[in-house]
Amino acid sequence: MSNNNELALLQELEDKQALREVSTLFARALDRADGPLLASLFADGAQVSIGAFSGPASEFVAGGISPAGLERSFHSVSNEFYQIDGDSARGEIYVIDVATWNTDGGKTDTLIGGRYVDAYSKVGGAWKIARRTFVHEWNMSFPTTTVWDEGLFGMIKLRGTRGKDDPIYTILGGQA
Amino acid sequence: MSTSARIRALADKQAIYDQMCRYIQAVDRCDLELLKSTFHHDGSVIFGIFDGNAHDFCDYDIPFIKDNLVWAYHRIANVVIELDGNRATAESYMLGNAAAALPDGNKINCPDNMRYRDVWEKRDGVWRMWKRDLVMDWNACWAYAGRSDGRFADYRVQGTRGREDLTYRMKLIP
Repeated sequence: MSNNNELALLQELEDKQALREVSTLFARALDRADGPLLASLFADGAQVSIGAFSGPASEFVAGGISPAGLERSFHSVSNEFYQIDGDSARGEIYVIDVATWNTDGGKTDTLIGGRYVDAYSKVGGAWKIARRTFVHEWNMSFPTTTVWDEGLFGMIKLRGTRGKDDPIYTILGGQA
Repeated sequence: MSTSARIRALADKQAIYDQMCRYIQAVDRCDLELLKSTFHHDGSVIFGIFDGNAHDFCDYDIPFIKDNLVWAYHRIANVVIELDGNRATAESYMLGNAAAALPDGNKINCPDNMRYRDVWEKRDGVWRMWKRDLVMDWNACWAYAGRSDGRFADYRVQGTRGREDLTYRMKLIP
């Protein structure tokens, strides 16, 4: 069908698509507190530096999904830039984490803007994170003004959760 | 369309998307040479703050950003690219966030939602912008709500302008 040059282009497109899915699933794993999913995204010996944590990914998984006081989070990624070099790759991904925290005497919403700067390795045909560093750019804190049960927002019945009862896990009607 | 042409169209769109990311890297890191590399030398822009030759715009824009914004952060979304051979038109949504210092020393936070309206051209195998115009759709001026205490003190790796940023050490930016 195609010459070698076109096959190389196709390979690069497939690699970039697969890396995008890794970053998307990383966000899902954090927001849904899905430890097994999070663990599945890392290569053996992977290293993570995010906020207070710096160390092996295997240790990050346990703490990363359950920060003290976190009620909900929403990691939204964009500007995904990947450079592929055979079975290794590097990437920069913009991310904004919108979160609600239980704090002393109330709740606080935070927005944190930054970037993941990553190294990846392809293991058995699947791309995995070998190193992920979060680069902080800016943050905002506000008293929570969320409305859950009234007006327009109150009409929206599917609600995100930090667990297997989240709607994404029951997309085909399955039980969580 | 042949399989070959379909693969090449996908690769062209990916290459343009990558260059859109490059443009943001250049602006947020204030990297003048990287910014120029996203435009053809005979390109042009209509940005309001500067209308004219694209490389002259780059020379104007980086000092402008440094002078007026404490930091800037740009996300892109809703990318539509229409290919026409070695030329393409594109629209991308830009969700910016920036901090500016007021004369009294206080900072304000200005989120802004805009769109880029582009014409891209592939020359010698490389897609660069021939035209980029900035369309404003929304903005806000909020009291600065950034903090560096509590859990925010944990974020030890801070993004920077210039080559100290981690992206250079990781060779994501030449």
